[in-house]
Amino acid sequence: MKPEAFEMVRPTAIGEVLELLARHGGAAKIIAGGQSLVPMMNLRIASPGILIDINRVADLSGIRRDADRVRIGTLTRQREVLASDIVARDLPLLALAATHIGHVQTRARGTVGGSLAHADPSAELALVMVTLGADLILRSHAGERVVPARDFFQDALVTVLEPEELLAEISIPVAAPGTRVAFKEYARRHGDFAIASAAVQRAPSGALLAGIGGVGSVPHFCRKLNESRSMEALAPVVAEEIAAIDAMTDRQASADYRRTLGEAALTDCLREVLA
Amino acid sequence: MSAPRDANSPLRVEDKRLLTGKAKFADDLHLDRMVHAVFVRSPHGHAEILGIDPGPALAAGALAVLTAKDLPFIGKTLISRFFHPSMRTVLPKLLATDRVRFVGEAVALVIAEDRYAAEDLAALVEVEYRELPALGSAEAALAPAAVQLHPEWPGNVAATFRHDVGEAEAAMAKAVHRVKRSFNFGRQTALPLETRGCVADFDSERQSLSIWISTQTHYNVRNNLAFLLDMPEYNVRVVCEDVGGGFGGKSRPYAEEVVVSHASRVLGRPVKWIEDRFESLQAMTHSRAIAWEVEFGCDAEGRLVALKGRMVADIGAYTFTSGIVTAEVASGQCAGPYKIPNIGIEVLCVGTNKTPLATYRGAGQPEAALPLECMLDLLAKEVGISAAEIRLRNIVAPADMPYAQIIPYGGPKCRFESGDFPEMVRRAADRSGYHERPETLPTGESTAWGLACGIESTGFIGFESAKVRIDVFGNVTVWSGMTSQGQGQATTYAQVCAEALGVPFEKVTVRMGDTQLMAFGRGAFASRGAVVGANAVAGAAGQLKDKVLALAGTLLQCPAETLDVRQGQIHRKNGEATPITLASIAQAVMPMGPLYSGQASLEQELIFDTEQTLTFALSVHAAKVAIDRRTGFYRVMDYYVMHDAGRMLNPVIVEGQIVGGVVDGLGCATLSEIEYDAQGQLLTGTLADYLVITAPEVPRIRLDHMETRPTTNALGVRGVGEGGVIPAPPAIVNALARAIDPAGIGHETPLFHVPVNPEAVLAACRKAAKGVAA
Repeated sequence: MKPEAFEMVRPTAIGEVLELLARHGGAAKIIAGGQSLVPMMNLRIASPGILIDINRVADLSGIRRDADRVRIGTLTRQREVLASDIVARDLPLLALAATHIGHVQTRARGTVGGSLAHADPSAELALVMVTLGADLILRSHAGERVVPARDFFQDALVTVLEPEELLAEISIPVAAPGTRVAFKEYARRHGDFAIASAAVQRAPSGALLAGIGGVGSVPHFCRKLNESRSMEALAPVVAEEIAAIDAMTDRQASADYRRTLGEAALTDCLREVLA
Repeated sequence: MSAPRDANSPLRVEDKRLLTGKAKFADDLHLDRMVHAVFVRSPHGHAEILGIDPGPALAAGALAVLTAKDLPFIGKTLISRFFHPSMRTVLPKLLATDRVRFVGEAVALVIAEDRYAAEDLAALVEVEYRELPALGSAEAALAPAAVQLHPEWPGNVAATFRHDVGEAEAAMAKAVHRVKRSFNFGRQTALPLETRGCVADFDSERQSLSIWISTQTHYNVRNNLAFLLDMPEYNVRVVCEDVGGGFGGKSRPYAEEVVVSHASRVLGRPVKWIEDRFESLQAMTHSRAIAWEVEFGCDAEGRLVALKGRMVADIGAYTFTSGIVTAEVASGQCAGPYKIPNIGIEVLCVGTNKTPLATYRGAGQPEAALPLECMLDLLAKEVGISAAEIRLRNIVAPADMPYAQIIPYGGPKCRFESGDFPEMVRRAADRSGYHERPETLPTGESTAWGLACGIESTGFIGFESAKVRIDVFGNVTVWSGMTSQGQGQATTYAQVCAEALGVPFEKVTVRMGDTQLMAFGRGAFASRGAVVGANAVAGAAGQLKDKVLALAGTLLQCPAETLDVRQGQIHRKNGEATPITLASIAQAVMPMGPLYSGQASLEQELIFDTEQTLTFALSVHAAKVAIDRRTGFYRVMDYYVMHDAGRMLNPVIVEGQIVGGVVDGLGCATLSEIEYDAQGQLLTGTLADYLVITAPEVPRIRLDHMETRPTTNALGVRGVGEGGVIPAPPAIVNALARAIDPAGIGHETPLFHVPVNPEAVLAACRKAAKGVAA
């Protein structure tokens, strides 16, 4: 369990990072917290020739309020999200979901951008960004583009990110005061990737945002669950949303079982925010 | 409820070293000129080896690449110490020659200057395989047209035998209640925190080998190395002073240490091999993997009259160096602590393309307890009595003792000779919370308690050595043929010695885990550390005390019987101190001393053995679970253990063993399973897939001790290593079945695959909702 030999470069400015990406493209891999990449390299599932270590690029880190959005730098540690007053106040769903990410050790190193770019189907951050309608800012030597989180994830571990692009920042609409949120996941052990999870946010206006993670290969945004109604009225909509997911089967759970868990998680979340 | 902390029992003396990172594990050893080894292992479940080309690896800088044809002793196999008359022994080659039969089977060894380079170079060794049809399960292996693994195993059956007691068929026909079910105890692995590994240093001038290795059985390792490398035993030194857990996975020799030692001999340099986790999950032996079909019959009052069944052990690709011991134990223990007059059990050990099967904490006993304890719950429901009551009606009672084991797998003289099993069941039921009715929590979860018993046969494999020596300053050293993987023998053996000899605990130092210390030893496994190892120490110390008193009597001109040793000083029995100390006696017996008689030191060696090789210990577990009926997710809310350890040498260590065992058992019951696909591909190759219980999943564990002294050993101890594990899976399954439906039966069948995953619990909930009969 030792990685193949690789080169590592340690740029200190974004411009340098983008230049390195432009030069090396697919041969290079960005390393930030290394919580997903390093195990893959140790198992030799991933063998990048060049690692671009962005840990010294100060501009890529931090959480700030910008008008009606919160902007989170890609290098921001998951632990910092948990500790942030801005997140606690303006993004209560993210604050809640972050408590479920991995373990205290992995949160200390793991980054927001790293988790999103890795695109595990069960990742809490991916589910939250899809549910809240975050925008991901992708930068390259050629310029910048903004991709909605709901379009970013293409398949398990596959995103629209091009080899020369860096996921630089995440921009998330703030929640109005009085917003209610719920998050639930089913995992075999504390800190494991969830088999299924759900996230729900209810604005004071009654508008709902809901998403399901882990059931399909990418987080599922529940478009039809957009306004508060009674649980009885929402139940068929929940069933419809669950049925719409192309559920995965693997060693951990069958597709049917994933849907069962997703439905239970979503139902519990809705009940909580509507109570 | 827990035993009072005994103010007189010392804290573990080994903990400071272990907890501050000062212990010396195999990987902590760094020798001058040391090089690193990596094994090339089979990626296929079953394949023919057409050719191996080490050329590219050698060209790229490998110091050596060893394959089967580089081993002059390739015709020999490891010594197997366990035999069953029905077993068709087929041990693996030390490196594969023409065929590989499981993912992870070693094919070649690559040596390089460091571990990184060795892994890169291992990837360059070109092995040409032709894949063969593989056997991914025992069912596939037993199918009529199945590919044959070995010519010695017709129909892929490595062993088959029966246990017949009484007239099972006839008795079953007359039973008032009969229940038939299938069980599957999934494949699991011992998973020590420290993986296997060794550093081998061959001295070509002396033609001697020193090996530092992570093992539970160093003398067995020495015996194998000497035999295979064709060396005198006295030229092979095996050291394992610190071992980071074994749990049965390291209780036998392996091919790896032999090949690594040979590499050191070839290269003339020390060679280190440390198994990584990926490799460990593939190549260290697995365990459990036993399936049952059983039928139990009882009379109208719930008294067991017959047990019929068939047990199939999926033993993997070879019979390994512990033979089919878990199949022997599991079938031998099919009646557990209960009286079942008629038994008919057929046992099959079936070969598959998987890692060979060997022992893991409990070694067949958890596999026996699962069907037995779950079936008792079903019969209780059929009869209309409680699960505690049916146990009380069948368990061996003090009046039945000595009670000869129904199937004497541990030797002809095995019997339950003491203990109060019914009282333990009663206390467990009364004190755990078992009598609470199953209920629904405000969260919507269904809860219930489940009960299970487990009989632990401790001290399996007789004989252990100890030597106690007193130096001229009155310090005492204990040498033992045992090993320690963290069980605390450095503390308990010092306690036992101090007590038997009459010296302060602080004066005693314990050394073990080095074949240079003693001529003979066995090691730590089968809960034998106290039962066999500590009794050897106590016996040697006791005999040494007799010797000391005789010498003191000579010096004091009085009968030895009038003297005693207290705090290292000779006292008269009337309490009066004498000027004679152990130090002065040790000085007196030295050459030129007044009591010199041809032996240079004050010491005594003893090999402990006992007429009955097993000491039995009963455990009764009770578990409370809560189930989310919509999803099948469940949690263990509370846990209670009633245990008889006999005399507790050190209550804190006993409690540590039991709590650790329960945690291990809960992992076995709820999470851990090694899985293969139909092609023999390992699906659980990392710890992201092979799930191990972690602290947040562990409930409160309450311990309750009963103390009855066994007559099988002078110290009056019973082993405690496995009783925490054995009843845990059925306790959980019984609690789940009861929470889902406290009265009915039939719904529970999906729960009879251990580990019980939530999807199976959901299936059981749905069956109960539909009222489906079995």
